[in-house]
Amino acid sequence: MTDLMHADEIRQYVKHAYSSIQSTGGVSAKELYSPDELALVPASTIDLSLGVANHLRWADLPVSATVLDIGCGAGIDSILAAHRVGPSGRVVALDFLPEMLGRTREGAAAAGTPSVEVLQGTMEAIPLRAASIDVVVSNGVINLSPRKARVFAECARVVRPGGQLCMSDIMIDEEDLPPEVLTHPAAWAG
Amino acid sequence: MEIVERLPLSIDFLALDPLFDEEIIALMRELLPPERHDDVVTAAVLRARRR
Repeated sequence: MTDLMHADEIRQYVKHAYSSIQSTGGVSAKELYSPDELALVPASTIDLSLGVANHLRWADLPVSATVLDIGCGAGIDSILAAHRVGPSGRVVALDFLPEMLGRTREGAAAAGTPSVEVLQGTMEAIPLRAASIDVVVSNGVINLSPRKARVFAECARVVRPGGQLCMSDIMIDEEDLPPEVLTHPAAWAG
Repeated sequence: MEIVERLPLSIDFLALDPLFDEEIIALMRELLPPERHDDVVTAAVLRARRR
């Protein structure tokens, strides 16, 4: 159960962790995405990729669809989604960190995907109209919110009837991890 | 709503994420048995469609 008294502390921890991220060497991206997928994405975007799975493989992303990528980070999933929905589609890359949005903007330009548009905002209050999105995607981000129920309510609000949510995130078995790990602030991501 | 895929994630994989700092990574390496190090958490892919 979320303790709302610690919501700001959690947000600050997350912001501090991700606002000054440096290159990961693309290690996680190379583990999660195929060579064909990585060939569509600039090296600078691959270097900063921090997803936990390749959920886009399971997403229904038809040509001309409007996609919302919650917590786009450096933009790897936004760029890959843009390739699938094509120039007649639209990908809204949402993040609360301006640094990440800048990287997504640069990466999308380098990838030749003008259908990616960046949007600054929080996943608990998505600055989009109701029923304006065909597919909501997210990769290892919703767990970072101290108000997950609120995030899912926002996803339901912005996705149109018949639209899809396809997301990935980390699950843990609390009985399986020692208390020293579970009580660490980073355990919030699980 | 359905879970369509589950993937084990290792301590080494989590160490790539700045959210997991050196302290928690060291704790996991120290407190978890070696056979758990390649499967410390699970990544799940979830899919749902709005009616």
